[in-house]
Amino acid sequence: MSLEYGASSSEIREVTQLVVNGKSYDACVGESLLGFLFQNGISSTSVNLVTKEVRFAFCGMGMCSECEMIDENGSILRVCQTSIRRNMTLTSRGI
Amino acid sequence: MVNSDVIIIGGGILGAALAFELTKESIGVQLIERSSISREGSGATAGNLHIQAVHTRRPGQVIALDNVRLLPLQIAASRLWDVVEEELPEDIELRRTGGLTVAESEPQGEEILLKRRHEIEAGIPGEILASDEARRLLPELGDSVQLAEFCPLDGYVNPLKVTPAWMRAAIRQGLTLRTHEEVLNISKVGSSWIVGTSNGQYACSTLVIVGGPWMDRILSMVRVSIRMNPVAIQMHVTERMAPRLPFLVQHIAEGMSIKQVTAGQIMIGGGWPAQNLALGKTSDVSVESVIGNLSQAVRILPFLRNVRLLRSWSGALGATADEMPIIGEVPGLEGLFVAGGTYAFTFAPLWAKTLLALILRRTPEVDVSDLGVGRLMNIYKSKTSGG
Amino acid sequence: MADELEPLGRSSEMKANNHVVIIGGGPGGLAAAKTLARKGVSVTIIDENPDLGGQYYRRRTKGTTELVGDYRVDGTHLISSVKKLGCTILTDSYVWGISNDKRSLLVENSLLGKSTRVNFDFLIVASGGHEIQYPFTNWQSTKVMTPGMLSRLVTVDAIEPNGRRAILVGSGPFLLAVTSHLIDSGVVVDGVFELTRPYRLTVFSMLAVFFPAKCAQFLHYRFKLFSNGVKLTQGSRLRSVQDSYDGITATFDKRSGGEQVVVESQLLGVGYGFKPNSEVLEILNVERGESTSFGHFYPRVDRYGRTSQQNVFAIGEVSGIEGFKSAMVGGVLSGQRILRDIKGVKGFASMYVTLVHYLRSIYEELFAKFLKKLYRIDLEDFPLLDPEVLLCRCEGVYASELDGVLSQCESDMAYVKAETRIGMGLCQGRMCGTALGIIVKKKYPKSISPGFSIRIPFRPVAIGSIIALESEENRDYIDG
Ligand SMILES: Cc1cc2nc3c(=O)[nH]c(=O)nc-3n(C[C@H](O)[C@H](O)[C@H](O)COP(=O)(O)OP(=O)(O)OC[C@H]3O[C@@H](n4cnc5c(N)ncnc54)[C@H](O)[C@@H]3O)c2cc1C
Ligand SMILES: Cc1cc2nc3c(=O)[nH]c(=O)nc-3n(C[C@H](O)[C@H](O)[C@H](O)COP(=O)(O)OP(=O)(O)OC[C@H]3O[C@@H](n4cnc5c(N)ncnc54)[C@H](O)[C@@H]3O)c2cc1C
Ligand code: FES
Repeated sequence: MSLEYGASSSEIREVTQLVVNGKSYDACVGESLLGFLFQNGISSTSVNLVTKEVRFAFCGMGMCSECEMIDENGSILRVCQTSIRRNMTLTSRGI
Repeated sequence: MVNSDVIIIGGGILGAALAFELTKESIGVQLIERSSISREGSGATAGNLHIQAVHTRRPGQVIALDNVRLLPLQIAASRLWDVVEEELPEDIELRRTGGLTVAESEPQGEEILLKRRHEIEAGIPGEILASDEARRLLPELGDSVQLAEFCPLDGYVNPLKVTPAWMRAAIRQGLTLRTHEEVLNISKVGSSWIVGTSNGQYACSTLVIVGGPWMDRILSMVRVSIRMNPVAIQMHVTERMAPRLPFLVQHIAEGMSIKQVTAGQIMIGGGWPAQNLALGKTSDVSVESVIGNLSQAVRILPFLRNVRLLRSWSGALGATADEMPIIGEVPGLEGLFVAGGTYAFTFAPLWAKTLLALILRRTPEVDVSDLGVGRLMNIYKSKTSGG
Repeated sequence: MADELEPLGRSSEMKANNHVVIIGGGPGGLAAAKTLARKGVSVTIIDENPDLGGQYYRRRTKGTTELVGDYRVDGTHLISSVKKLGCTILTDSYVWGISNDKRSLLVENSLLGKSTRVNFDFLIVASGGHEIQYPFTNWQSTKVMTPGMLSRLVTVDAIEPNGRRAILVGSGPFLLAVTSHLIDSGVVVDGVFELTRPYRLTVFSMLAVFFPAKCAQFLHYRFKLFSNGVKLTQGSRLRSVQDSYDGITATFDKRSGGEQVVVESQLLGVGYGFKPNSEVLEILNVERGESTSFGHFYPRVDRYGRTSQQNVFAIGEVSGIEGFKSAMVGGVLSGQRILRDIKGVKGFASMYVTLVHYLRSIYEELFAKFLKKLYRIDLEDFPLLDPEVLLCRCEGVYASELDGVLSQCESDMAYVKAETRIGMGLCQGRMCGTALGIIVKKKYPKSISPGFSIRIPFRPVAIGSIIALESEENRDYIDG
């Protein structure tokens, strides 16, 4: 099944500021957060508390907890199960 | 048949500690454990060293324990734990964090003041803190705390480390450890005890039963019946977090113990009951107890609200009918000893030393004559009454 | 699959409220919901994701759909018909436990940070599965992930390929499906490495005779690999991955001969088939079905998905049947069965539907059995771990730390866990549990390792969310 890039895409897309570990990006509201991070080469979602290694989303289905980040309210979210909201500020869990 | 001076039944903390003491005296010991070591109460335990007077009832506990009677034993156990840490080559993660016991009402405050007086008599250090002093010591405390007591000797030991460490040290001193072997019958031939297991028969002159909640079942093999009240209680552990809680925190009137362990996780317990007691299997964790224990924890330490619970589990506790410890030689059955009952973790080094003294016919350092088996025995039939 | 279980309690004994709760909004759960809701039965579907769909019909987010269009449109239709039928839909909601009386689910809404109880009269567990892992050196690299994740990145998340390259490692037909998705989206696949040796001429001939439609699908995948120059290697074990400047170097041991193969790429997807998300079933003490080679928990179910527990059904991936179609067949059958329990047998149409799906389910089961034989992984297929391999990703435990413990554990995984902390972390052993089971089994071939035990919460839940259950107002009573 091939993707239809650009199909019906010129509709209103709300652009927002997304801050990830202090760096700011332009992102679309409602876009997949996992896809956005991957596309933009952000390969650190969490830092392991024991080994101190940087980790990135691994399972893509809510099982491994490697994709956990902390949002602006201090809540932990799973990147693989989240879409981008307005003015999100994310920090890697474990930093 | 393999002979040794002593056979220990039960590979929990009491079995390991006693094996260590006996082998140190070059006494030949075999320890027989039904499954793996430290898998029952000694693995599931909170691992707290309770030195200040404890609250007297777990949630749902009908008979209150006599917390004043325990005080001289607690201070004696406290001194011995320092020795344990020095004697064992492995790090057992013993931490003397100090412990706070909190009160949320005036009557509860009275209770703390009363227990403090008893502790002074027993020589246990401590300090009464008004609510603002308590909050200065631990700013995380919730608004409902009115009075607290701080005892510098309270702390914890990592249960996952201490029993295996004791066991390994005993093995180096000559212990023969037999795991995955269940004791099925016990008989006496002359002055020897013969222990039959799923794997063979072993003989000894001294037999020690430290079978936790199975103590009554094992004793029934020698036709002794004792009154026990075993329960399964549960524990809760959070995810790892940066250091935030430097003390062990308890409640004077409700079962509650909260501490942050070396791995950074917060352990929440207090003896809340599991749904059932399934000896030898896993008792089902009770959701009502999870909610009850955690609600109370959040009341006392509100920051816990935002911490994630990682897991809960249950473990069986070999409580006696009067909720007090049990230790001594079984009346009429020479060379047969038991130990167990409440707070067996805190008392482990003390019970090991006490059993050693009793076995060697010396006078133990603490008087345990009132904690013997006799008080809990129902019917006693001498060995001559049957096979 | 077992024969039909004993008939369950008569409808007359049941409460007037015949509320059905479905865990999992994948193809299985959706098909069951549609079957039931069409006949006016009150249904609640619970899924942890922001939208329904499960693995196969995972939805693009609204934003992504606006950008690049919809994906798997049949899923969109199925979901919207389920929504139109008035089912109660609890998304962003994770079932983390069950009440003491086993009559309500404990469900956390991750957006609200609050848990509620959801009562059920009938429960359909359609919770799917997750991919099996076996560690190798540096599998914690940020460039290593599951094939499922690679697949969703290019399909659901619609990332642009930008000349990206990947290799796929593991076992099962799923690897070929993912490879096909990657190729279609423009990712260059530098190789597919299947652990077993399923792709033989005899196999394809058998497929052609007994399962012609499935055979066509296989050949289609095989041809796609071939025409895109993707090499398919069978019987090789992944040993290590090294990070390089802009990619990875993966080293494989050829099982025959012992020489090594080194492949360079940018990303690596690895998975050895699926493991059921069986927490709910295990905590309900549902009886186990046949034992499987990895010791995973599969429930004993009849063709309608009925388990040993009254009014508890298990369908789709969690019941051990792979593929979205068979999940949907199971969904329809469980739905029909519940309709019969609630309303009695009514009408010819319903009997016809049941019959058709019943036959289809027999066919799918035969095919599933065939696949299981075909991709059978033996313990020897997996290598012993090098000491520097990270075994437990969460708690940072390396294979070297198993020395000594393994010889003392007498095949008791809980003992290994207590001694090493393996499986004590955030994922609760989901990533390393199967591997530890294999390692233990290699050492004690006769043991039956039941895996790590299940406890609540199934996944980490904020304490504040749990204690929200204390107040009675939060009880979520749903009328039938
Ligand atoms: C959840 C929980 C929290 C606790 N918290 C604390 C605390 O904070 N502080 C404290 O002081 N105490 C606490 N306790 C109590 C204390 O931890 C236990 O009482 C203590 O660990 C018991 O040790 P034990 O060696 O007597 O028995 P167990 O650890 O129960 O060991 C008995 C052993 O005997 C074996 N056995 C039984 N029958 C046979 C047989 N027929 N043949 C061979 N082997 C057999 C069993 O398999 C078992 O391994 C807690 C207990 C629990 C369950
Ligand atoms: C990337 C990918 C591609 C695939 N491609 C194909 C293909 O081409 N052809 C094919 O036939 N099959 C394919 N499969 C397999 C197919 O997806 C599954 O067989 C099918 O989805 C199983 O359906 P299900 O309804 O049993 O479970 P799932 O689709 O897995 O749905 C289960 C849902 O339940 C949720 N859930 C689980 N536990 C809980 C809980 N405790 N609380 C709340 N929610 C929970 C999960 O998050 C999930 O959303 C693919 C799988 C993946 C991962
Ligand atoms: S990637 Fe594994 S939980 Fe999100």
